[in-house]
Amino acid sequence: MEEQSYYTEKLASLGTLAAGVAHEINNPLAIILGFTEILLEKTHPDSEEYDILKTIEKQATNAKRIVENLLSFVRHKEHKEQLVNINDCINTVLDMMNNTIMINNREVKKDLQETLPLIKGDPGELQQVLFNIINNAIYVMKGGGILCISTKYDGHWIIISISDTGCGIPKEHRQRIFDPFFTTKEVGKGTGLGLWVSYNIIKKHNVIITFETKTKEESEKPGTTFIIKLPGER
Amino acid sequence: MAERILIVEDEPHMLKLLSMILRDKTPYEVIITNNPIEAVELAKNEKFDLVITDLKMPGLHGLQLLEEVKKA
Repeated sequence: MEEQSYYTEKLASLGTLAAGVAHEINNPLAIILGFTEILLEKTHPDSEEYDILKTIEKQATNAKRIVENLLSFVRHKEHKEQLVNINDCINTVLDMMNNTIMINNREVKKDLQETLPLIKGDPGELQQVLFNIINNAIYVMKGGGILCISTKYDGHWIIISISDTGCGIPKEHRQRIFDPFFTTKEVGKGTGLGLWVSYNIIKKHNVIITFETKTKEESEKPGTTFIIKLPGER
Repeated sequence: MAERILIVEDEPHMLKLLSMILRDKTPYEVIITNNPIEAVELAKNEKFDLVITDLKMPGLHGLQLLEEVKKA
């Protein structure tokens, strides 16, 4: 319990610090990107200078993405609650990710309970949590796999389960997956902020998030399942 | 006569960037200042069709600046 409290406090203070830094970085990034765009318009596309400018643009855009992820934590402090159908949130996110799912040859199995009670929450924030978890699931199923998403209501909790048939999370990473900037993705592909942002959103919604994971050394069927439990009242 | 835009921004690089974009890409006359107090003085003497201002600036906050400009 003490360890849990320390962990939560550590995340909270890191979050505040990171968000403050992100604000300060935003302006210089906008200036870099703005001037780069101006120079790109004045430079011949076949020149070496053009390639260098494109590299600057790409790297600065990457940094901007990191900042946006950090700031999403701050922005969502002003979250607006309304009655939300969690199945609608899931379908919106899956529609949004349809291309990614198709391109990466992933199969999606949905089993959504039709008569879920509505919950009080911010649909944008909840969609962001779902997006981050599903996005990770798609990424870890290299070479194809099955993404299973289900919802059910047990009379007290709405339970969302998101499973992948990926490689599972190694033991040494399991304590760190919600830490900011922790990522196992290749350089430039992940910011290490998705689950951290999700964790912070989840705290505000009185939601419980857990995960079960097995690597191929631990099971013949490796993969990870995230379970999200939201308080649902009829 | 072209419409006139006043840009108020204390960060010199951002000011330059904004003015370059607006001068290059729009037909408007662009007037710039890095000082919000000076911006109020300019607005007292000249007419602007649009004011683009930073919010956090030393001397005068962007929203206060707009109030002053409207009064001018």
